[in-house]
Amino acid sequence: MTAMVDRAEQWRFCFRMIWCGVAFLIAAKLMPDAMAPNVYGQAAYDIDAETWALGFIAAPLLVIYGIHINGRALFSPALRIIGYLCLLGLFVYLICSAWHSPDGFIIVAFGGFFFVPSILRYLRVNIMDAAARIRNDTR
Amino acid sequence: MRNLTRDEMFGLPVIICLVLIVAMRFAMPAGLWLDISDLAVHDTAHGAIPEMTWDRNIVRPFDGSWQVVIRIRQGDGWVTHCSTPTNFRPYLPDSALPVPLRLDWFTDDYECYERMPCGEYDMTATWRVWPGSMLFERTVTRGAKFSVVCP
Repeated sequence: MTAMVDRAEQWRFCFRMIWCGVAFLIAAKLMPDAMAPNVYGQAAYDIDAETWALGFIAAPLLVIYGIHINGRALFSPALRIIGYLCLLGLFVYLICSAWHSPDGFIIVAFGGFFFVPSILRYLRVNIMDAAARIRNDTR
Repeated sequence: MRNLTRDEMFGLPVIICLVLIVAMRFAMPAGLWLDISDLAVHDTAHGAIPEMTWDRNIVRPFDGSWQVVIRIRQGDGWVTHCSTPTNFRPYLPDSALPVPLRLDWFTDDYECYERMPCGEYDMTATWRVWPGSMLFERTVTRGAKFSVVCP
């Protein structure tokens, strides 16, 4: 199994994530209280909403670039793995922060049951792909 | 790298720079300069100046601005009651808050509270931290709800 198997699926997943990030960035610019502390938690609230939005744009962008150059550069799986690790870190931080907040259930539920399992699955696929490339020394 | 086109080779540093800038923003939140917590405006009687409590810690000096927007509940929604202009100030670690701390000082608008009819209010305060570079520009937003009670 290589990353190419899930390439279109990963591509769509990352583009959805980027659109969500763009929408959140627009919301953060237009509404000062777009990121409510009672939903996202104090730890997440202490970081700018714009920074969160940029994080959810930059990390999938790295993955998309890795998917785009897949097969033509040895480091392409590394880009995807780093991108997914960044996304995983963002979601884990957000979930941990929302866990302690009164209205954070929606974040914990969406992040924990939908996004994190998908990211872990793609991460596993890409780690296996990197391992296969290292074994075969193929590009 | 020789298998990549010129555009693709140019794109990689751009994306890596973007990721590094975002990582730096996460690593250096606004709390490195300004820490605001437990902002509360206490309910007050009509005509009196609402008192406030909050913890402000200026960790290191910076140039900053703040803006306060106060909205009043009308029906199911909120209508802007008064909004201060964006005020620019240098923030210094040895600055202290006045005692007692009241809304007129915070909004820098002595007419705002005088025009406050009885009702439920929502205050949003936004600080913008400008520590000398656009890379470090940060925003801190805090809100509080309070009521002006008629006797």
